[in-house]
Amino acid sequence: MFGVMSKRKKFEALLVSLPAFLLYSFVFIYPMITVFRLAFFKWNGIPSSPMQYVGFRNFIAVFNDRKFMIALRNVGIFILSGVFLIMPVALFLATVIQSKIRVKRFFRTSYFMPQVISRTAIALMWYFLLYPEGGPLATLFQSIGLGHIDVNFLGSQKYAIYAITVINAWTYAGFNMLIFSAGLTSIPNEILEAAEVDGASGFKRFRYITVPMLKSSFQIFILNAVVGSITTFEMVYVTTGGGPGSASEVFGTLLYKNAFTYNNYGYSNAMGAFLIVASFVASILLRKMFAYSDRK
Amino acid sequence: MKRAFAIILSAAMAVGAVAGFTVTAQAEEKVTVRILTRYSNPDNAREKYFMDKVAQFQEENPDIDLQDVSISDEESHDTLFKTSVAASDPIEVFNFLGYAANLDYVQNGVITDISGELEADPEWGASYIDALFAPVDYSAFGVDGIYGMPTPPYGVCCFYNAKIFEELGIEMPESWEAIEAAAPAIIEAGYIPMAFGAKDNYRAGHFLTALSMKMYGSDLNNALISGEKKWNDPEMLGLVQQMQDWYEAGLFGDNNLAYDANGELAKLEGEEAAIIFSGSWNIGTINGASNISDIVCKGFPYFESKPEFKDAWMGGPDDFMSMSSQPGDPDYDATLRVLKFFTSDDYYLGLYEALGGAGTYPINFEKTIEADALTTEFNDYYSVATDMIGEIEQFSPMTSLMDLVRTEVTTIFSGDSAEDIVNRIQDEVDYYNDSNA
Repeated sequence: MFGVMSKRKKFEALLVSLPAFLLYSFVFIYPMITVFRLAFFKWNGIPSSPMQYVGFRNFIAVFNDRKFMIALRNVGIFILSGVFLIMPVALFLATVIQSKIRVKRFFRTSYFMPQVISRTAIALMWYFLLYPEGGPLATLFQSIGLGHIDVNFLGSQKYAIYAITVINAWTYAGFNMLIFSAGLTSIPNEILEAAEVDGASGFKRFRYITVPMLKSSFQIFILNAVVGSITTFEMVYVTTGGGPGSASEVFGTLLYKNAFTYNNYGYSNAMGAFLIVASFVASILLRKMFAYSDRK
Repeated sequence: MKRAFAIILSAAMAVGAVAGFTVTAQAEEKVTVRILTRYSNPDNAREKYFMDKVAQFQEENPDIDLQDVSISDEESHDTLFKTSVAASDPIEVFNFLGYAANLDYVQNGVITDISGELEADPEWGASYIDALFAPVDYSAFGVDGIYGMPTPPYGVCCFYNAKIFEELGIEMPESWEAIEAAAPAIIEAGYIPMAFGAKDNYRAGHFLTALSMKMYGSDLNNALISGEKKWNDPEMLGLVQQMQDWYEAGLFGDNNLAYDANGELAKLEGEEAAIIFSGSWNIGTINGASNISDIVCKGFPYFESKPEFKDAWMGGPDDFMSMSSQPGDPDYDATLRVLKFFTSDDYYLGLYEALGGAGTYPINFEKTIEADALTTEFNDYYSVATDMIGEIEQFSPMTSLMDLVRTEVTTIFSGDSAEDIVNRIQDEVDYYNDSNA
């Protein structure tokens, strides 16, 4: 880029980008290096307490932790729920707000609403929705003869993580709707109209024109879903805190608890380092896959 | 016109500069001291009293900028304190839990030794009950000094709805055997024998310790902490199994993971629960219940087969008011002044009067207020306690043990077996011991 620039121009370009570089280094690079460095020490979070170098012991502890395996499974469930639950719903909502119905502005606002509500408020809302004694869902189940079903899914070791993925889908479907909506907008009407003239049915137009032309939207969605699932924290923390027991733990809750409840900062930083690497590797792999698929 | 504008502008700048200087000078004179407690709910009489005292201190001490950063939620409170420590800017005055679990803070100089100040000011602390200082006495770990002033002590007790028992024609059961015998009739009548709000995981921790005291006294606690006994040995397994059996028999009702400690109180007031296990800290709140005339306070149930531990309690000192500023720090004197204010005899005497004598206090009062019925009943049991400990995990230097035990035992309510629960706890304890060998 700098090849054709004069020395003065190069200097000016460097000077102009320096503040951004320094800011980026300060808020991103430096903390990241610190995370990796602290991951090799045993430390209780008290600055005056000596840090003890333990090599890879924190990483070994992370990978041997029973809860790490639970978190790994739960992150997998999150990713799958993204693909099989959020994606179809978001795509459907996008087609609704891109259609010619009259109240689409109302729908667009309604669908996006959960995105702007505080996560704590969402957790509280769902807590009451799923409350087993007189909660709306319990009452509904009772009225249709399904009163025997325990609706306190967030308090169930078996179903807590699935309940969270549904809440997560409800929250984020609106945001992802916008991604697909932007993709739908970019499809030229002429192509769809030409297909219609050629006699292609609505489904065929969707299957053979809309879906292929939404490829970049799908790529953005999948990248967000995978990296977002690996680093997920707030939704789990505010709904179940990782419980009951450890049933809904994810990497983020484990990291948080080890640092702020157990004073085990070395372990916590090892978990943080793993998260950074996992997110980085996942995004590189996905980009390579997308590039390969684009070339085909 | 231009000239006039320039003059006005200059004058405004000059005034602004002088005003700015004045503000800066005032700000420089003020010493900022933050105070972190779990008192932030104005609807609770005890917490409201604290908030009023903060306002009083602020008014009476214009040279100190006292910032109240209190937060009721235990986890948020602890996180706030820990992050302030990790950022090398520890909150100056705070609630400290004491015990071995927090030894690191003492050993690394985060908590100030106030023994010298107590000696220098003999009036401060003279009225305190000496036994309450035990959890901040770290001499057993080779650390001398006193690291905080006790807050009101507590005891895990039970509150009964006498009306329900009267209606059923059952005498209020005080032993586990009697509760087991009465439970079928209570359940049959549509009541919960003993509400258990497991949504707060500390409820399981409290219950387990209280139960262990009634079965083994403090012997099991000592054996577990010394490593002589394991968490999956028959003693602890038996206790967790007992809790599970009671849960499965309907003693604790159902949907326990859907409600918390406040839910227990609501079930007592709403006449859904015949008994709740709770603690002295709730006496003030229960006194305000609409059916207070039906509520009776009793000790945590004992085992008829273990009469020697009938008066063994989970309770004692709750937490401590401590400080982090060290002698020589610019804010040391101001911080000490704040600590003394909130731990003074006057502070507790005011609280005693504000609560009409309800609850427990860390100091002996010269005058006595005739207390409410619940406090009197509580004290009848509490005063004859023969042995008393805090939650078992507090005695271990393994910081994560408390959350681990509470979380694991709570899984009784979501179907885990007692054996799996104690095995998982012991696995983590073994790992901790190996890592710290």
